[in-house]
Formats: sequence, structure tokens, C-alpha cells
Amino acid sequence: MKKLIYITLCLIVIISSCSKPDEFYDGPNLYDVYGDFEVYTSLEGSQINVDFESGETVYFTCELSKVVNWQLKITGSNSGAEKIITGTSKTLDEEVALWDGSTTNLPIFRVENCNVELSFLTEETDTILTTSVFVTTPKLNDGFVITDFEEGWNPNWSTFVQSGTSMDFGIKLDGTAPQLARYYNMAGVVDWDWLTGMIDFNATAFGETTMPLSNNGDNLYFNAFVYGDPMYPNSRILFRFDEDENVDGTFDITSEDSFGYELIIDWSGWKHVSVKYSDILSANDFSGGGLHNPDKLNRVSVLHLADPNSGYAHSAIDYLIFTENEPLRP
Amino acid sequence: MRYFLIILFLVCSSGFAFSQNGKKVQFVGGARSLNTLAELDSASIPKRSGGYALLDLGIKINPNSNTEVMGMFRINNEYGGFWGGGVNFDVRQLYVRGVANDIFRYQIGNIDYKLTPYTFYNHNQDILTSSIGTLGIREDVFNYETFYSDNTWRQQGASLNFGLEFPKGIKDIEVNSFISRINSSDFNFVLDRFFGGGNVVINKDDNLEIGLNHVSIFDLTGTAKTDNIYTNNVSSVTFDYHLVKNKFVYGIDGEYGVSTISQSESPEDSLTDYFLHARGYMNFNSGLKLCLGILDNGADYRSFGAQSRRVSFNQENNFFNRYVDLTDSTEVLRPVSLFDTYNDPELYNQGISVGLMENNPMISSVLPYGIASFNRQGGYFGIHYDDPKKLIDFNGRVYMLSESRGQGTLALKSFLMTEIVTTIHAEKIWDGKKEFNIQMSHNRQQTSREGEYDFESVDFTTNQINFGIELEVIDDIYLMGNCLKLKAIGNDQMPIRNSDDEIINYENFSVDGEESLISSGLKISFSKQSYLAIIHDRFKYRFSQISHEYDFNQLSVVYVLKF
Repeated sequence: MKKLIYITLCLIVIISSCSKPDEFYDGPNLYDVYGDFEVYTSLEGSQINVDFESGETVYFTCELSKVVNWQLKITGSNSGAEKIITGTSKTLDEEVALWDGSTTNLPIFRVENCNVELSFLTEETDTILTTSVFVTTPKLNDGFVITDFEEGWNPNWSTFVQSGTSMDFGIKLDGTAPQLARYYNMAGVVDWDWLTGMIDFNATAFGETTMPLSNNGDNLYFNAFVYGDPMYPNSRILFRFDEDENVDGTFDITSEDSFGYELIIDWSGWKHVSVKYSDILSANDFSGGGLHNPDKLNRVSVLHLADPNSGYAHSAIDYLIFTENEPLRP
Repeated sequence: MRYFLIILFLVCSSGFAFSQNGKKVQFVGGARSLNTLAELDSASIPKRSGGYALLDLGIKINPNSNTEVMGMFRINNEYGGFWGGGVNFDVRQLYVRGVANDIFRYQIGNIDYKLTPYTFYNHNQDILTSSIGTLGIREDVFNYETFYSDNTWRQQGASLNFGLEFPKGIKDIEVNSFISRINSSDFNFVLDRFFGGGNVVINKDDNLEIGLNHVSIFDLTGTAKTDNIYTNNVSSVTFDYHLVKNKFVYGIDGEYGVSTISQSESPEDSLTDYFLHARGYMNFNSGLKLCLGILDNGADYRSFGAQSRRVSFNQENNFFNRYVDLTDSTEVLRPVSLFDTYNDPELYNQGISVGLMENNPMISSVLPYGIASFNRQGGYFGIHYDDPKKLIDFNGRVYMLSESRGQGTLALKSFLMTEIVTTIHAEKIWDGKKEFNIQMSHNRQQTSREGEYDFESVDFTTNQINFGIELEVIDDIYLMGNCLKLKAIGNDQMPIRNSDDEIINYENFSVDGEESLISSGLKISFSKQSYLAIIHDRFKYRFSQISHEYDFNQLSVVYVLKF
């Protein structure tokens, strides 16, 4: 009898434990990975017109038969600005295909109609789905704008240009600006000095002795759009940041900090550059102690440099802006 | 005194030999020398020679009759090293063990431990058929190097075991426990992680044994700047009920339990599942043993104490790790082959690995984590025969399993594995004095799945054949040979998992090729504990769908001494 009880108990445990197969599966559906490619619903934007300045966004929807790598390319019809969103999914929705008005490839979007193309990075199809969206107002970027040159020359700025040949320093309005209409051009030949020309953006342009920035250099980013001329890849640009640490209205290079951020312009076209203020290195051997005090920034200078033996050099700048917490997302 | 609990210490394990012959200090250890000349035809530098001589010198000290202290040091001198060049000194083993109050057996330092196959166990998933001949020597080397013995894992920690014997009702109770640290804090985002547990084994009488087992991998809060505590708990009940009639033993045994895995900051991602393994068995007087079992391991069953693999196939080879694609002269990584698992002890995992380790479906697709493999259900049949006259040993198993949960589809994969190992001691036939051992083994694994669409279909078959021979030609001088062949053909959809072991995609795995090893050698046996062997290996890799084909030849001289 005892044996029977033992065996019965064991059998109860075994039989009660044997289960049917699960009625769901692990991982993505195999059909989503290996099935035929089909477009179930076409590409659509969530709205026809979008006002980015007021915080609106637009997202795009599309349903596919399987998971694929896709690319959504939004192109401004006037500016040529590009926003590229990529993903791997079988549906496009607000989570994966949201556009907040930002730009991947400069220039920045303007008030314009934008063409939207959805292509698939698979050999199975060369289908391209299209739609459009109209930007009624472009995205407004938070931050302190030093200048975007749209207001023209400010008398509180100062400039120095060498007396070289073919010197071309000045604000340009030729339809190629990365942000709105105007930018600052810097070009010429100086065969005796690295410096071809420079421009000082003084705090006095804002009616202050220091620029209205936070005191936390770890949380502050300097951003600029910088042009590289593919024909003349010999330019360098030095951004210099002079602090008025004793707040006497002037910068003293012997006792106050100057920081420098130098770029070798080895790209072609407009590029967004960004640097954390506290990462910018001292340009005057820590004369002011080397502590970054962005709230005491008295002057931002932009120096265009080129090897004197390298001939004609050409670059340009636009949209100098400080942002907090993160680099500019143009 | 009948109702008094009588506490007895248990009989120590076989390796627990205190103070043999009353010696206070003993020297134990081993020595090995291995020199190789190898050639891989498509390596940029095709020939390499190398080797080492090492000495493991252990000192066992018995300060009293109940305590043993063991320290083993390794001196390893690379071939060509001289006067300190290429010489390494390591501590290979260090522990203290003993019996406290004549009751508690303890061990601190290195402990070799296991509990049950589903909680804490070192399964042998890849070397499916134990070998004789030249491959037997390879196995001898890596088993020594990795401390793999009796399915234990070597841990750094402590263990405490004791037994209770009762005069009535219950025969005895054995209590085993252990704790070890499996990784240390980086004082930032990695917490100290421990692995601990134990079991209580109750012997009701000579026929019934019930065990309660629990293990846990857990993070120790406060040891880093994070409160995300990881835990993997596994609890099980083991049972064994058997009867004996005229030396014929029949019974039923098994294990049933649940596992959970969780992280405190994402409780919604925790996994809980159960497992069950039960088998009936019959052991006949004739040496014949039969068993019939079922298992049902849930798809979310996770027990890394039992699912840590000996070899991860997601690692680089240490020897000829790159070779050249002869078609375009680019160097590529050489994948870990079955032969490498015999040839390179450094490929082996030395401890518990938290997270699913990558397996090679060509070597083990049916039970990649041993009997503790998750997402498997079905039955198996086993037959084992030990010839009382020692002429033949036979071991055969057939597993018929399926998934319990599909991967990417509701259609389930089916698995069939047959394994046969036969060893013949042929000299018994003619009452010869010199040994003549022949071993033949075959492991066949089939994975299949049918589905609505072609891409759901899986049909993958592997065959692993091993033929080994040892012939004693002159007293203590053996000729040896092995032929090892692994063939794989078909396709499977292999899951690609993220760092949380979730399936995020699939890889179409399709092969049609083979690996083959023909190995021959000569062994001069000086004693049961020492021998010199000369081995020549010819290996061919022919899985062109995975990597480039190559031929590999190696001549090795191995000297092994244990004392």
C-alpha cells in the first residue's frame, strides 16, 4: 500500500506538470523577418501643415508586411535642407518616424514645402513611397544667439582683415546661407601670416559687459555652422572666448582667461560644430586660473587662419549660438 | 535515547583522505610537458612550434586529524623560455577543509561543488562521447586543467555539509550548503554577485530519498552605485524511490522545480518557469540497465548554475586564431571547431556564467545546456550494459523532444538525438595479457520544423562519429588511433539574442560539410600515473558556408605525471 502511495504521488506530480505547448512564441515573427515584402498602407504624414515654432511635430505612418531597414528622407523644396530618419521595423508610427523640424544636413528648413521619401534598404524592393508636408514656421531653437547675421553689421562688433590679395570678408546674401538668408564670408590670400582676418563679437553688442550665459560650463555648448570650401581645404578657424573675470568691462589677457577652440576645415559645405564650453582649452596659459566662467564671457572672436604658403583660403560662418544641456539640434 | 537526535558526520568523499598513513605533510600534484609542431595550410605563417613544461606542486598539511590545508603552485615554463623568460608562477589551488566538532564538514577556498542537474551542475554538452586513444589523452589534459570532475564546478567560496541520523521514522538527513562569489564590484555599476544555495536530502529508508534544493545567484546591495539587484532563484524537489528484489533494482527518480530570474528595476521583465524530469529505471543482475524518462523544461526556465556551458562558441581561438582566405588573401577569424575543444583547454569556461552562452548547433543542438536545456519537452530511453566479464561496455540513449514554445512561430521544432557508445576490451576474447581496446561511438542529432511557409521549415542533421583504438604492442607500450568525424547538413533559424537574452532576430544557419580528424600515436606508460605519448593529428575543416576550408597537421609530444 505504501509503495502504491509513493508511485501515485510521483505520477500525480508528473502528470500535473506536463503541459501543452505555449500558445505564443518567443522573438519576432519569422514572417516579419523572412516573408515577402509588401506595402500594406502607403506613406502618410500626420498633418499637412506643421508649425514647428509653436512646438508642433509631424509623424509619418506606413505599414509593411515585414521588418525591414528603412530610410525616411525629408527635403526642403526651396532650401534643400535634409532630415533623415532611419529605422528597422514593419510599421512607421509616432514612435519611430517623428519629425520635430530638426535638420540632418544643413541648411536649416525654412517656410517651405517639403518632399518626403520613404525608401527601403533591402534588395527585395526598390519601392520609394512619397508624400509631402508644408512647414508653416521652422523650428525655433532654444539658446543664446550671438549672431545669425540677419540683422546686418553690428557697430559694437570689431573686425580686422589683413591687406592681402582677393580679400573677401563680410556678410553675404547669396542664397547659400545655412540658416535664413545671411552668413559671414572669410576669404583671401595672406602670404606672410597665418591670420587672414578676424571678427570680434563683443558683449557690448547686447548692451552688457558680459554675455547673459549660465555660470556652468559643463552644461553649456557653443555651436556654429562652418563652411568648408572643397576647392580650398586649407582654412582653419579659431573661436576664442575671452572672459572679463573682474567684471571691469574689459578683457585683460595677462590676468584673465582666454579659451580657444580651433578647427581644421577639412569638410565640404556647411557643417554644424559644437563643443562643451568646459572642454575648450586655455589659450593664454591659464592666466586667469583656467576656470571656465561663461557668465563672464566678454567677447567671442572668430579668427580665420591659413598656412601662408597655401594660397587662397576660404571659409564662412553662420548661426553662432550657445545652448544649455545639450548641443544644438538644428 | 530512542528519540534523541543522533548526529553523525557523514562519510567523507573519495577525495577527502585525511592524513594518509598519518603523515602531517604530503606533496601532491603533477607535471606535464607538451610540445607541438603544427601547420595550418592557409595561415599567413603556416607553421608554428611551441609548448611548455609545467609543474603543479601541492602541499597538503594536516595540522591535526580533522583539518587539511592544501596549497598548490604552478610553475609553467614556455618552450624556449630560460632563466625566468616565459616562466609563470601561479597559485592553482588553495583551500582549507576539515571536520568541526566531529559534525560539520567544511571547506574554504577552492571548492568543487554540485547539487542537482537542474540547480547546480556541470553538464558535458559538447564532448558527447568520452574517448579512448589519442583523444582520451586530450580529454585527460583538459579535464585536469579545468577541474571538471564528476560534473562539479570549481568555485571560490565555502561549503558546509553535515548529516543527521535518526533512530526511527527517517533514516538520515544530509544537509549541504555552499556560497561563492562569481564576480566582484567595480564600485560603480557592477555589484558584487554571489552564488549560493544548498539542499536537504532526506533518506526515509533504504528505498526512498527526497531532496529539497535551492540555489540563488544574487547581487549584494550596497556594493556599487546601483540598486538594480539581479537574482536567479531555482528551487526543486528531487526524489528517488526504488525497490530491490534479488539484486534486481527498479525505481523512479527525478526532479521538479521552478526558476525565477529578475532585476529589481525592471520587475516586468522577470521570467518564471518550471521544469520536470522523471524517469523509471531497472538495473538487472546481468549488468543491463534500462531507463525511460520524460522531461518538460519550460521555455523561461533559467538556472545558470546548471546552464553554464563548458565552452562558449562566441570566442576566438588561442591557437591559429586567424587564417587567410586564399581567394582574396584577407585574414579571417578561425571558428572554434570540434577539434579545438579537444586541443585547447583554454577554451573552457572555469565558472558559472550568468546569461545564456552561445552554443554551436553543429555540435549540440538537441540539448545545448545538457538535461537542463530550457524549452524542451518529451521523452527518452536509455540502455546501459556493463559486461560482468569486462568484455564490452555499451551505452545508448534516444531522446525524442520538442520545443514547448516556438521561436518566431507557433510551429515547434522537433528534436531527435541518438547516441551509442560501445567499448570492447578485445583481449578478453582470447584471454590476452595485453590490452586491446576498441571504442565506437555515434551521436546523431536531428532538428526539424514544418510550417506554413518555407522559411519556417527547419531540417538540420548532425552526425558525430568517433572510432578509437588502443593496442598494447609491448608491455606498457600502446599504439593508439582515433578517427573523429562531424558532419552537418541542413538549415536552422538560429535566434539572435540581446544582452537580456531576448530574441531580437534570427540568423539563417545553413551548412553542408564536415570536420574530420585522423589521429595516431604511441603511448609509453611508465605507471598508472605517468606516460609519454607522441601524437600526430590530421584535421580537415570543410564547412565552407561558415568559414574557409583548411587543413591542419600537428605533431605533439606529451608527458604526463601525477603524484
